[in-house]
Amino acid sequence: MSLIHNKNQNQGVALLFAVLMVSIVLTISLSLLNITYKQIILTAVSKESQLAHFIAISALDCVRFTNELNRTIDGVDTAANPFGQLDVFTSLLNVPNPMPTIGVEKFACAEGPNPKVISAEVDGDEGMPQEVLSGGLENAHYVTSRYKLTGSGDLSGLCAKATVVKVLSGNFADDYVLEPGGGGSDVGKIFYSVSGQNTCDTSSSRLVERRVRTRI
Amino acid sequence: MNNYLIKKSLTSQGFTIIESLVAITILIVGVLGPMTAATRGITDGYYAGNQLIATYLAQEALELAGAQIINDREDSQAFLNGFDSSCLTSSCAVAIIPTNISFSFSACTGANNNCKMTYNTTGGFYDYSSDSGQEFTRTLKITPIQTDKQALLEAKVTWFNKAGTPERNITLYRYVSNP
Repeated sequence: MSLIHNKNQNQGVALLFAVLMVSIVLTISLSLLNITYKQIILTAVSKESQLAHFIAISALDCVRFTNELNRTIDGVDTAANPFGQLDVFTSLLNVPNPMPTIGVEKFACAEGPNPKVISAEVDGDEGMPQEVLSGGLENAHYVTSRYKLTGSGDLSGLCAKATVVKVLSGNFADDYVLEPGGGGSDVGKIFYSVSGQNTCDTSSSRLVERRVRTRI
Repeated sequence: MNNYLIKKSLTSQGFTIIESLVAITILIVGVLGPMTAATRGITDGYYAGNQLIATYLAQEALELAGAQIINDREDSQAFLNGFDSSCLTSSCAVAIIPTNISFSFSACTGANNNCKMTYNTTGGFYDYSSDSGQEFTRTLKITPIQTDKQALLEAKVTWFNKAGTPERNITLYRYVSNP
């Protein structure tokens, strides 16, 4: 009788042990998998961040190049310059003429038969180029223009937003220049601020933005 | 009473073997699944690490190419003058020269391990030496868009996580201009 009773007490021990072992192994494995998944997400973000960074730099180069193209041989902006016309010596400051049209390409970075690398149209969400009589950090008189830049060909799927500010007088901003003495008067300066995006879909959950700024 | 106990004992016969079989099945299924997941996790972790290294190697190539363009401009050289011709015709290697903190561009040949990079344990960085360890093949390609004015830089890094697995790659592009 005692043997039978003891035998009944041992029933289910192997099963219990198996379930316990499986639970422990499962917990450890799931933890490992979770860590790895986060590693992959982080490295993917790093890659997307590089894409955003280089489209920002590319767009900055494109914007600067376009500004240079739309200057006379004397270095004075033409009236059609997409970022406005600035001439400190004659106190000239104008918005682009003709003004860009929303939804229509204003400028592109490409040449002849080569495919476009980047094309730009005015950023309708941010408004048309405009002259500000007094703004910025300290009574700056400037023209500001905002464009949406879209990559094509090898850069397709990447986008950028560029803001260009041409200052006739006053102090627009100090934080574009890091070196000492970078602040103060911004007469005749051009401020570029470009945000690169790894995707043109701004509502995407994997959107990464990188911004570059410079003053020339 | 005795009859009842004997009957109960007889109905319990064979339970242990069934219990053991069920336990073994649970153990096999319950351990094999997580073990596969853990193995996959280790493989993916390895891939994640390599992808991160490849991304930074590609970034480095584009940064160095950009620096060369600035150097050419400051030295009043023609646009893309400082690059080896192979960079414009096919693809080339971008090497850092630590001794004088400079860099160079050259065709992918045996001299630079055919553009294959490995970790230099002495220097603490990736170079074109033929050390052991994970290999990354890094190349730079320049496509001129407009002579002396515009170009597209392409930095490509390829690698294999393990022999026999598919080739992985990271490609970064940068548009450059010469205002």
